Amino acid sequence: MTTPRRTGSLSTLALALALAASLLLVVSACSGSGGSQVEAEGLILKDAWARASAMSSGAGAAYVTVENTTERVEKLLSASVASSVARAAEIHETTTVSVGPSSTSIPSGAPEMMSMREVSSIQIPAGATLRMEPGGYHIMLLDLAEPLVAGQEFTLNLGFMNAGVVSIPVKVRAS
Amino acid sequence: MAPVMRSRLVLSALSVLLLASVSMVTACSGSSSADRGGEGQVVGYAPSPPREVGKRALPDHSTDAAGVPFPLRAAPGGLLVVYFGFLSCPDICPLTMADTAAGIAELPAASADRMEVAFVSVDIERDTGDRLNEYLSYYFPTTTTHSLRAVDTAQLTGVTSEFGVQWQIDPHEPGATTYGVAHTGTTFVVDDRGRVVWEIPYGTAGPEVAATLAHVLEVAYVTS
Repeated sequence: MTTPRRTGSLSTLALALALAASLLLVVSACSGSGGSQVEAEGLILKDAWARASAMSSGAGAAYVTVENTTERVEKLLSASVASSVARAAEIHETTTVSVGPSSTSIPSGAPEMMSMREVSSIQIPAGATLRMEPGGYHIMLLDLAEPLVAGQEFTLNLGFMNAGVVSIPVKVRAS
Repeated sequence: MAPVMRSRLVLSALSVLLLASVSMVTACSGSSSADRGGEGQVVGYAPSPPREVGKRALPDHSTDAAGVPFPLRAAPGGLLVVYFGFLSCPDICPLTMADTAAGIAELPAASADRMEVAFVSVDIERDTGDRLNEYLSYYFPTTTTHSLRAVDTAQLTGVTSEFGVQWQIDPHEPGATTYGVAHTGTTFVVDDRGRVVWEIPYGTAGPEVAATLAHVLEVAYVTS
C-alpha cells in the first residue's frame, strides 16, 4: 500500500518540477526590443498585435510571428482567447482566387477575388519563421465580446504540436 | 498524509510560479510597428475604355435610414472611391479602409475635400445601413461617405457586373452569423461622369493611395 503511494507522490513531484521548469522556459520572456516576446520549447513568439475594431461588435484579426528555432517541424494547431475577448478564435488564411474564364465582364487586368478560409494547421519547418500579417495568415476572432480598443492588451493562446499551448500578450493597434 | 501534503505543497508552489509567470508576461507589454510605408508611387491602372457605372444607383444609408438612391458617380470635380466588401471581414477590408483613409489624410486639404468614399456591402444578409454607417465613420470621420446596401442580390449583381467585381457567399444555414465571403479586393476610383477612371489593387499602402488619388485627380479633369 505504501509503496505505490510513495511512487505516486514522487512522480507527482517530478512532474511538477518538470512543469515548473518548462514554465520558467516559457517565460524567459521580454526581449529588449520593446515588443513582447515569449519563448517556449525552441519557439519564439513575437510581434503580436490585433487591429482595433471599427464597430461595437463583429470580427477581429490578430497577427503573431513565430520563429521555429528547433530542428524539427512544428505545427500551429489551435488558437483560443478568453470568452471576455471573443466567442472563438480560428486560424485563417487570406487567399486570392483567380477569376475563371466563365465569369462575366472580366476587365483588363482581371481583379482576383480575395477569400478567407479556416485552416486546420500551419506548418513551420525547422528553422523557419511563420509571419502572420494582413492579407495572409491571421487568427480570426469571432464575435468579439467588446470592441478592441487601441492600447489594450489581451492574451492569445496558441496550441502547437510539439511545444503545446503557448500564451502571448497581444497589443491592440489602430492599424 | 505526508505524500498528499507534499503534492499540495508542490501544487501551491506551482500556482505561485504560474502566477508569477503570468504577471511577468503581462509586464512586458510593448508595441510592434508594421512598416508598410512607401515613398508614395502611383499604383494601379486606368481601365481602357473606362467603364460606365454612373447609370447605376444603390440605396445610400448614410443620410437616411431607409436608404436614398445614390448614383455611382462623384460630386462635380471630385472623385468617388468605391470599395466592395463586407463588415464581418476582419483582415482585408479593414486593411484597405485604413490604407484608403491614410491616403486621403495625406492629400492637401483642397484635394481631400474632393474625395468621397463609398462602401458597397456584398453581404446584404448581415450588413445593415446602421452598421455600415458606424463602420465608415470610424475610418473616415472627416470624409463624406456613402453606405451602400442593395435591396436584393439582383440589384447588387447589376452594380458589381458593371464594375467587373466578383463576389461569392459561402453556403450557410439561414440565420448563420459566421460564414465566409469572397470578393474582389480592388478599390475603384470613379469620376463625376460616372466612369471608373482608375483601379487601385488590393494591398496598396497609404502613401501610394495618396500619390495615386492625387494623380487621378489631375488626369481625370484635364480633358473633361
